Amino acid sequence: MRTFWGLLAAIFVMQGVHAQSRKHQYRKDRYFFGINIGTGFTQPVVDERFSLLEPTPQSAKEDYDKQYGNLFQNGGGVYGLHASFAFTPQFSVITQPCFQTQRYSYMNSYHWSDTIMGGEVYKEFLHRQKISSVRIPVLLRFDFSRLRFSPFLQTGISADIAYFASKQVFSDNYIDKDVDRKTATSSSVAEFTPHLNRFNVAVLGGGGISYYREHLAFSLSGTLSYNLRTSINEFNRYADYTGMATEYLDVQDKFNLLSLNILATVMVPLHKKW
Amino acid sequence: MKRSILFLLLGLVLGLFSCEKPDKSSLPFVKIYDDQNGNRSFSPLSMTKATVDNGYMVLSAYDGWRIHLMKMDKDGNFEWNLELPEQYVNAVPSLLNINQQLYLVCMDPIALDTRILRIDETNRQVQQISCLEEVSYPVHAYYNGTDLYLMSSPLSSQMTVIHQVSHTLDTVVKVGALSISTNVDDLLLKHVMHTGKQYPFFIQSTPENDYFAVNAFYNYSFSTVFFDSDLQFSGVYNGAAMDGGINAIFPLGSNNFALARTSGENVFFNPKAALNPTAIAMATNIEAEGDAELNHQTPALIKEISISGKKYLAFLASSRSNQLVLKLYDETGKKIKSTYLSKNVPIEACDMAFTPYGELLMLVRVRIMGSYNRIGSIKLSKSNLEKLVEVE
Repeated sequence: MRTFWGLLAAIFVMQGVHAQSRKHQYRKDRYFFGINIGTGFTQPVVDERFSLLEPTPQSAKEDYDKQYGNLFQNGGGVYGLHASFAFTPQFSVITQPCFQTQRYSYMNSYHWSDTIMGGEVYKEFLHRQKISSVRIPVLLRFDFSRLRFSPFLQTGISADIAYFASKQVFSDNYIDKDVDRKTATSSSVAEFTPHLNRFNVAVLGGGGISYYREHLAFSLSGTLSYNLRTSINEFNRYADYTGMATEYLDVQDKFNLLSLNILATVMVPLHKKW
Repeated sequence: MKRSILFLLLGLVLGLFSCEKPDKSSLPFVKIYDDQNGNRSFSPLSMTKATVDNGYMVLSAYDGWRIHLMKMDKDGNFEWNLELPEQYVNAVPSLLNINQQLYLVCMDPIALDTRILRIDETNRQVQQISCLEEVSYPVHAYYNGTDLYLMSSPLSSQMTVIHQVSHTLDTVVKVGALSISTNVDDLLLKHVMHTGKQYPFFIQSTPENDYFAVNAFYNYSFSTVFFDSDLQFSGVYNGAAMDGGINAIFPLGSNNFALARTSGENVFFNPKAALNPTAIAMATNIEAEGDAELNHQTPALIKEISISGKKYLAFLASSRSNQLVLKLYDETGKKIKSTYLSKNVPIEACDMAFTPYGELLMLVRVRIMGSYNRIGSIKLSKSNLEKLVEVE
C-alpha cells in the first residue's frame, strides 16, 4: 500500500514538473555524446536446478540445491559511452555501449560420516563467477521536464556479448553458510567462458534524473535488465572446461541473469538548434 | 530513416530467435551417486538397459564383495537402489539380459557356490532362481544370445573352468578347463574382494560362434585362451606372467579383433588385429599402438557404436593424470579422434553402453573429495559424438 501511495505521489510530482517545464526550456540540443561509469548488481533467476552429486536414500541431504546470494551481494562494474538523439525535447533514443562485469556467487555444502577420518566430514563451498561482456543497449527515454533537472524513464533492449568469464571456488570445513575468502582454501581462477551462451538479449527498464547546463549535462540512472536467454549453454553444462566439475561437484543451474546497473553519465551537447 | 532503423531492429531480433535449435532431447550429463557413509567404497561392475523402461540398471560391489544394485533413468537421475543381503556376495561383472529379464550371477559366502538371481525391476528386489553347487568362485558370466557361460576359478584347484549352463539356468551342461599350474588363490581373493588388482576376466564368442576368447589364469600366466564351440582348448595368446596381456577384446568377425593389451607399464590399442584362434603365441607380441599416458592398472573398454550412420570402435581407458580418454576408430582401423573426459579426480572406466538414442553412456568409478569411491555415469549426447567425428 505504501508503495502505491509513493508511486502516486511521484507521478503527481513528475506531472507538476512536466507542466512547469513548458515554460522553461533548457534542452536546446538534439545530440548528446558522453561517457558513463557505474556499478552493477546481478542476480541469477533460477529456472531449473542441476546437481552433479545425485542424492540417494543414503545421502545426508535430500537435495544439493545451491544457495544464491541476493542482488546486492553480487557487485560489478560498468563503464562506456553515451550517445543520444532527441526526437523532441522530451523524447529521445539513447545508446550506452559499455563494458560490464557481472558477478554471481552461490554456496553449497556436503557432509559425510567417515570413521577413518575421525568422524564427520563437512565441506562448504563458495563458488564465485565473473562474466565480462560488452553491452549494446538501445533505449527510448522520456523526460518529464525541460528544466535543468529532469527526471526520466527509459526502456529498451540490449545485445550482450560475453567475451570472458572466470570462476573460483573457496571452501572450508564447517557448514555455517559462511565461507571467509580470506581464510578459506581457494582454487585457482579458471576460465569459464565456454560454458556460457556468449550472445544474449536483454530487456531493460529504469529511470533517473538529468541535469542540463549550456555546454554540459549529467545524469544518474538506474536500469534493471533481464537476459532473455539462459546464461549457461545447456550442451556444455557438464563439459568440465574449468576442471572443477568432479573436483568440486559443481554444475551450473539453468538461470537468466537479472541486473541492476546504476550509471553516472557526463554528456556534452552538439549545438544544433531545434 | 526512422522506419529503416525500426525494420533493422526488428530483423535483428527475429534473426536472433529464428536460429536453428539443436536437439535438446539428448543432453550430455555427469552424475555421481552419493552415499553419506564415507567408509563405503563402491566398485561399479556392469551396466545394462532396464527392461521395463529406458533407464539403466547398474551393478556394483561395495565394502569388498557385497552387492549393490541401482536404477537410474535415461538422464542419469537416481531412481532406486538395493543392497543385497549378505548371503549373496561376489557378483561377477555382468548384468545379463536373458529373454527380457535381468539376471546377475554371484556366490554364497559360506558354501562358495554360484547363485543366479533374477532382478525384479518392478518390485525392486531380487529372487534366487538357481544354485550351481559345482561352480565355485565365479569370476565372469557371458550370455551369447542362446547360452549362458560361467567362468570360475575354485580356490586351491589351480584350475580355470568354463561352464555352459542349461537354458533353465539351473544345471551345468558342458565344461571346459584350463590348468593354471600354480597357486593363484591370493590374486583371486584380492580380485573378488576388490582389495587388489582387478583382473580383466572375460568370455567372448566370435560373431561366427566358432570360438570363445577367454581371458583367464592359464599356465603360469593371465592369458587369452581360445576354446572351440565344444569348450575344447584351441589356442592361446599368453600374457606376460600375471601382469601383461590382453585386457579387452571386441570380436569383429573373420578372426579380426579390436583389442587393448598391456605390456610393462604401457597400454596398447589395436582396432583391427588378426588373431589366429589355433595359434600359441605371446599377447605382448600382437602389433598395437601404444599410449604412454594411459594407466595400465585400470580397465580398458571397447564398444562398437554408430555415429551418423557409420560404425566406429570406441576405446575408453583412464589416463595417469586422472582423466578418461576416449578414442574413436573407423571401420578400417584409422584413428578418428581422441578426446578427454573429466579432470582432476581419479576416475576409472567400468562399463559403457551405446543407447538406442545414439548416445554413449559410460559407467565410471569416481573418487570424490580425494577420499570416497562412488558410482558415476557420464553421457555423451548424439551431437557430442557427431562433433567428435566431424573433425574427420
